[in-house]
Amino acid sequence: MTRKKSRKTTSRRKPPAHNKRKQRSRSSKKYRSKKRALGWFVIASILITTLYVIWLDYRVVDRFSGRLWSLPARVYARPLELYVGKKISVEELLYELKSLDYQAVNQPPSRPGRYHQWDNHFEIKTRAFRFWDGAEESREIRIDIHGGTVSGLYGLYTKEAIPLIRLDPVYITGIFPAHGEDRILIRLDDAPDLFLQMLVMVEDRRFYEHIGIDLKSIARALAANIKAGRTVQGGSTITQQLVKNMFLTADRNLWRKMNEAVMALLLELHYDKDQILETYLNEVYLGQDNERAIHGFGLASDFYFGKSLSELDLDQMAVLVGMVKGASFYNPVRNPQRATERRNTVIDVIQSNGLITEGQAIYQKNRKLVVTSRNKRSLYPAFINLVQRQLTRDYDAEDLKSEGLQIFTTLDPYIQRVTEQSIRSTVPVLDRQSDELQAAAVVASSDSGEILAIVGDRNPSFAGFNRALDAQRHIGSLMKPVVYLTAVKRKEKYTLGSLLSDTRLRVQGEDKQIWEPENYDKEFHGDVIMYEALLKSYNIPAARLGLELGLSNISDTLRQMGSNQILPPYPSITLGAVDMSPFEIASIYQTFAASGFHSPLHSVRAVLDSQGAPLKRYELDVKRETDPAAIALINFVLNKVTHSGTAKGLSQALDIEVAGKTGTSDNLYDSWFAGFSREKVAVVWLGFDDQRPTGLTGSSGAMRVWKRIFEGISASSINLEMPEEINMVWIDQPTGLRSDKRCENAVELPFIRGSEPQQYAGCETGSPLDWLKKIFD
Amino acid sequence: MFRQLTSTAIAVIILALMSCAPAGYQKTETDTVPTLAMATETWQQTTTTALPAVEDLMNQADAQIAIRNWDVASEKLERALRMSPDYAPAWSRLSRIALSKADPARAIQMAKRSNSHAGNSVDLKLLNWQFIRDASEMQGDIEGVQNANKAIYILQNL
Repeated sequence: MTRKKSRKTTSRRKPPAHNKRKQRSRSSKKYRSKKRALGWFVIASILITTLYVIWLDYRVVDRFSGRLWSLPARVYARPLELYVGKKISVEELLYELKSLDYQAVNQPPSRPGRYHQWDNHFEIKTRAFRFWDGAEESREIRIDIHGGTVSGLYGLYTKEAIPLIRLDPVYITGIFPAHGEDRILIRLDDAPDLFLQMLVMVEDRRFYEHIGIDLKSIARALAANIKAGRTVQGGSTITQQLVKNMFLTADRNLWRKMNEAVMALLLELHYDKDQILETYLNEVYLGQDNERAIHGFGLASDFYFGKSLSELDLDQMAVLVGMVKGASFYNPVRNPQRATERRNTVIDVIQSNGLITEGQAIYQKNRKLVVTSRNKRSLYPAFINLVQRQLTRDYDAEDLKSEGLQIFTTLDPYIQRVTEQSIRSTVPVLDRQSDELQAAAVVASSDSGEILAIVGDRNPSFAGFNRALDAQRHIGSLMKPVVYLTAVKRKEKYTLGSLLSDTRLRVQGEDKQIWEPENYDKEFHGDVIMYEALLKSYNIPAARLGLELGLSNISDTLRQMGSNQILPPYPSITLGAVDMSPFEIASIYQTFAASGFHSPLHSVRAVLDSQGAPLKRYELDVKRETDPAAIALINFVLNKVTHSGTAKGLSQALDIEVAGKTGTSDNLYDSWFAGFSREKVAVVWLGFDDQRPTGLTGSSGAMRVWKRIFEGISASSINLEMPEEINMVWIDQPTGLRSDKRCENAVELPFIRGSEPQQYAGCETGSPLDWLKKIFD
Repeated sequence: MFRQLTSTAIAVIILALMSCAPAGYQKTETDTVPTLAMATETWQQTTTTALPAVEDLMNQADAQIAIRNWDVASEKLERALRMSPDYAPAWSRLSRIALSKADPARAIQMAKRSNSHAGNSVDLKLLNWQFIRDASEMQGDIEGVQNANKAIYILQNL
């Protein structure tokens, strides 16, 4: 338009010569200006491009030089230790091996994570694992079990006795962010050569030759796509895929592709092929487990096949390699048919490239696709809840979700399973009408306070209100052993033979309310000795004694035994009108089980960082001591309770000596049982959340669950031997005086030396015949 | 039966000697803190029946104690105690480790725990009481030191 106007002007008047010069000069100026603008444009473009590339380079280097991923904490159960003398059933060992995804084979195992079992004999090739106190190497072992005990443990081929073997621990769960990635980091060296070759062959055949982008592959893909009229082949290299996964979106546009190419080149410029491949192995997306995204072949191998990448068979490797093309589409759990077809394609590719023979390919393609049967969801919500509470005292919640910590807990998967089964099978029978009866259970180690199992709901896999930790319920008669312990600690005043009055009791509390406790049988029993009062769980003698002792002294005893309760000043607390959780009761009864040595209940043994370096160990703790002699007296009665008291027949039924106490709150709202064997203490609670009567006493409800737990686990008798400072003395039950064992109503009771009654009851005649009989007895 | 009689006899002797022990017993120059080597000798000589696995872990723990790697040694000992909670020499070792880590309260509890399972092992009990005395000293607990010294005196004169 401008040029046309200019011509018109020229036709009208002839410009003077200097005008021509001017015009030339102007055009020249314009030209130069355009040239300059172009130059500036080019310079600016180069500058912007350079800056952009520098920025991309910064992104690549920054990401790779820092921590590449946030790693959720991995939570493990306790490792199973095997040694001659270890109490374990064949079923228990099989369950452990299954939980560990060890593969059963029909011959001596040749690879880690496999076992051969027949009758009571096991041949196992263990997996290597790094623990707090050192690494366990993979070993080939033979184990013989007889009578529920390991009777032989030796090298499978060496035949040499092995004192001790520690299996790798069962992985329980991770502590993830709400919508987070999970992965198990692996090093390139951890991946079998066969797997790496297969991966490269299928995903990027010229990986070791190109510089991040592969023009040949792009051209080949382009041709294939044009021919097909749609996208049928991708030309992305492994480096490009890595860049896309780590830095870019999944959009398919030119700008994204250009960025991908540039960043791939930059990545190759800074890092070698091994580093890139290793990162790819850990980054690649391989499926979804609800909110958890499965990243990397390390986790995928564990998630789909229950073993490490190095343990996979060729066909399983092919499944994982095939999933790279579409993790959801070729998911072996949800789409086994497609996954199998894709696996076979991968096998064909490696066979056509000479990695395996045709015969091998046919064999591998004929193998059935089997994924792990292990439940992928968090199995033990109540336990994990406890672990998180313990860990958040020492760790920032964010660190637990990102630092890749390895948490070694105290959970015994077999005991947990038995506890869950006991609740699942017993509670519905006890509550046929409403299906609302709730349950909670805690099983702990008597000596160390380690939590072995915990259930917080009648449906143990429900991750809701954790009744084991948070239900606060009246404990009923579970309080009585604490009251009597407070008494017998004063050996000069109270013994198991002390007479207590079981007659009407009326007490006015601080609130002016009259409290008048009754016995369960609504009867009064006159004077009874302390032993009988506890054995039969009479309320009135316990209440009267508790008031005599003083509520603050009972509080002190409770605190010594591990409770944090500040008891209200009501007389009814002597009969357990105080709210506690099953966990707290387990803490108190642990002190009985450990002969007075209280160890705080805990669920974590140690924490390691993501590289296996020790961070923190939660050492065995013994907090304080309750007089062991006094404890021995109460434990003596608690054992008798399981023979002839409120838990009558329990020891006989279990065929081991146990000790325990039933607990029933007012109106049958709560049914409790707390008891222990030599090495385990357990508490079971049953009740309705809305405090309705259950119709169950401690023995008709919770004790049945408790009994079933102990029927299913390895347990041994409590130590019935009395401490040095205790003498066994025959007592006349009605009077509490000394007796001859042949007298009617005589009972043999333990007394702290010096506290034995001196006076004899009437049955003794003092005749020479009696004297002679005594000598011969 | 024989074991019970022996225990009773020892208990009677201890009670008798306790009544003879000087009330204000003070630590003398001859009282020495047991060295690690001395302690290890006592632990290893305590012939409490142990499972081969426990013995193996004790050896591993002693090797770690010798190089003052307390945490790893403690872990070995705790593993042993999970197998055999009554194994008194393991509790005693934990007491010694707690002393080395300047944790006297723990040292006392572990030593008491060891004594509760020590049965007739006078040397082990003696060692544990020495740990209790040293721990009490660390805590500035004069009464604790005196009680420990009494017990040591009695055991030394058995």
